Amino acid sequence: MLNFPVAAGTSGHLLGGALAAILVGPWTGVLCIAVVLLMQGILFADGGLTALGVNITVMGVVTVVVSYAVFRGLVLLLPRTRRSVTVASFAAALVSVPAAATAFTGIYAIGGTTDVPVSKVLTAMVGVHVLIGIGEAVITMLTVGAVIAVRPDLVYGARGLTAPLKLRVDGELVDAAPALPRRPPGRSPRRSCGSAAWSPPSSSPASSPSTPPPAPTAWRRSPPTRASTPRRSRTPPRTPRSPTTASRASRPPASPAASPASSASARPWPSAPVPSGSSAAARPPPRRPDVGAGHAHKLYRHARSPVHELPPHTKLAAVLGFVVVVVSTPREAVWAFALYAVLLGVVAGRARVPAGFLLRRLLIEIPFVAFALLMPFVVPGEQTRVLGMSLSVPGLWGAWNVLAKGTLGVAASVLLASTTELRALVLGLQRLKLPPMLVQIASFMIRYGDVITDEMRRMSVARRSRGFEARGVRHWGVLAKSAGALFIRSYERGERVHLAMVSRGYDGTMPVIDEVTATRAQWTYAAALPLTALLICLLGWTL
Amino acid sequence: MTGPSPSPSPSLEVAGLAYAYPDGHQALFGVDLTVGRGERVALLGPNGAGKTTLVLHLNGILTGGAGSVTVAGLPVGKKHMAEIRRKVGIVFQDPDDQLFMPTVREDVAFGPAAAGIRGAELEAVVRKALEKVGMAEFADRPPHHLSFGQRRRVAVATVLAMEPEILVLDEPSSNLDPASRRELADILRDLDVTVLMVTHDLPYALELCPRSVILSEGVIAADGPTAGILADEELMARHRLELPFGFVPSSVA
Ligand SMILES: Nc1ncnc2c1ncn2[C@@H]1O[C@H](COP(=O)(O)OP(=O)(O)OP(=O)(O)O)[C@@H](O)[C@H]1O
Ligand SMILES: [Mg+2]
Repeated sequence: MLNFPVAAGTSGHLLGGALAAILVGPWTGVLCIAVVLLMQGILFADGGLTALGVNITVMGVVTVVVSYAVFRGLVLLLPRTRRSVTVASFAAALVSVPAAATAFTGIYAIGGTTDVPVSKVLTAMVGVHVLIGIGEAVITMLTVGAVIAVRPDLVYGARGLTAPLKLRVDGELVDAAPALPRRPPGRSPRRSCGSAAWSPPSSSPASSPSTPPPAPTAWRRSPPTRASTPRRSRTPPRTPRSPTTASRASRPPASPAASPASSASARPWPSAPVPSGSSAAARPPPRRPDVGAGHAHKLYRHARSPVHELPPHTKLAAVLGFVVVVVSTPREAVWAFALYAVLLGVVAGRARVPAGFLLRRLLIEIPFVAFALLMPFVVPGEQTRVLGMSLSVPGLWGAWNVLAKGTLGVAASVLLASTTELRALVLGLQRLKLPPMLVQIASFMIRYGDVITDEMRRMSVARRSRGFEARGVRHWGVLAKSAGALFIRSYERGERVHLAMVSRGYDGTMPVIDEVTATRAQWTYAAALPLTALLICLLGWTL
Repeated sequence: MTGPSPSPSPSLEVAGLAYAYPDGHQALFGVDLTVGRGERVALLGPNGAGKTTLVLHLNGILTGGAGSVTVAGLPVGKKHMAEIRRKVGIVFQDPDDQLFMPTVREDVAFGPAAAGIRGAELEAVVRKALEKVGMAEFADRPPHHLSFGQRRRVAVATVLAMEPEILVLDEPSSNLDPASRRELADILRDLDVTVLMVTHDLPYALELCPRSVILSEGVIAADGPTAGILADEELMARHRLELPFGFVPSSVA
């Protein structure tokens, strides 16, 4: 079942693709989008777990790769100015969206279970997405423009636009050589001063007049800096930075590549002193991850129930199993779907999730429903008359298929989300051996989600207190600039957090602090749902 | 790996350090500074002088400018990075940057766990560090629900848990209430480590650090006994440093 709505949801994600590729590069871009979709798939049951693969392929890979290719190509062709980067980002976003639509149609043609003609889908998808693409292109361009104005180094492809280092010698500025240029800066790097002659003199205390002896006895005022003047400045101090003359390839200070992954193999930890008295009390107190942890998300519903208490990874596995079973049930076995619904009802009862709560959460599914409702009208085939309308029979079956399986998948995801803390979910994913990179990104999304939402709210308050109300297209510029500023703020916070992590010995993998474990009984309990479902499914195939 | 040289090499040696941020803004213009073993040094200077930038060079977080940094005889660079990161414990200016794990306990455990400590031993290290800063009962709270001062204390605990040789604190006393400020001073005084403390709190510097350096416009502008520096009114005024109203350094020392 490879369906997902053409409506709002899609364009929302696509907005990320081109922007992510341009701002953080293609690999990180795909990764980010994968995590966002994963979290959406699990938490908000957006598209259910089933559509996840398609989503990631189409939105992540296609938009990111296409837009990045277009972007890089244009940046190389156009003159190296900021305007070119902005223009290139516009074109990249514009092309990437219909490209994703085309790719979607391709996948649909290969794996679609309904019989909608491919050409019809293609026309609809591409037509809609060209429009979306224009909107996205405008927003991407404005955002990239805003970012490049402040942090040109953050825009992949606009790097190497910084001025040469200076030293302050007796109050005057003097050129200094960078330690080493990190990457060959783009095309035609103009080394402005060729000042490789200067190297730091030896730092022995005797030769460096401003270096005090370790324990100063007499206090003295040191000269502003070393007396040995390397070279007098030829340029006036602080020449205004010209964006076009690339002279020093720079790199964000916290580039993950800088983490000392290789050198961390030997870890001479000064054998941690365990006070002998505390060894009796050293047994970690039982942890209740759901108390006071404060990571309640909107879907979570606090309660004490056997379902809440199951270890998260068993629940994740159970839901995944259930969804797979549901999806592989033949659509003609209507009674099987009814039984699945009863099963979920039983789980909801055990979990003390009220029916109203569950049903309200199911509203997320509406875009699906819209897609499903179209099918009886567009799918060709044998026609039947219902309430005076001519509907196609295969279309009706297709709609039923999408609706039944979609609803059950979403309901299972909602149940999972409403009985499991966000934090626990991430631990569960980790336990299920999801790629560690994905788990880490997800857990940081949780930790900093609040912080960034806060940042966003503060910016919005600041905007409004100065009399700004977004009222239409005319204000998109301001909003895009804010988005750019938010990106910079978040990115820089990310840099600082990364600094804090490497400062404490982070080498690319999260250290194991809490281990989630499940007993056999808990596994059995969790497995009850998918196993019963499997039984029903098998019956459905044989009957 | 080369061990630390047998001669008492200074804890910290900075020479000719210059650095520009990726946006092109240059913050350091050739810093020279030596801190001996066991010294407690205050790093003073006006806003924007480059203090935080200097601090970020001490464990190789910022690199790529000119000049060199040496920690206990080891040059800060790719080769010794893991060891240097363990030796230099930095408490950042903004605790929100430092506390990145979902709960206080996990955050404090991060450093030791990254160094391979597990289970009960890890638990003990964490509890000890949290008790030192009086935050043991907050272990299971998420850091972003704590007050600023509490977050600062947890940040100190995260570094103490790593038992560093050099403790670098970026404005440790800001936003602390007077009692916490004093408690932090007690903790710092009891530690047997080299301390480099960035601060705008001049009485605090005088109380804790026998020696002070002034960083101004990206270079070291003065270096000497704290009492002497604070008493030099002309120097202080030139670098936008002001004592709190009514505070007379000579009366304290
Ligand atoms: N990430 C950054 N990108 C660009 N410029 C920066 C960045 N961080 C700091 N700067 C600039 O570098 C200079 C030195 O900043 P730094 O944070 O080191 O100052 P500081 O001495 O710590 O000041 P404060 O006392 O206010 O904390 C300032 O002019 C600041 O604007
Ligand atoms: Mg600072």
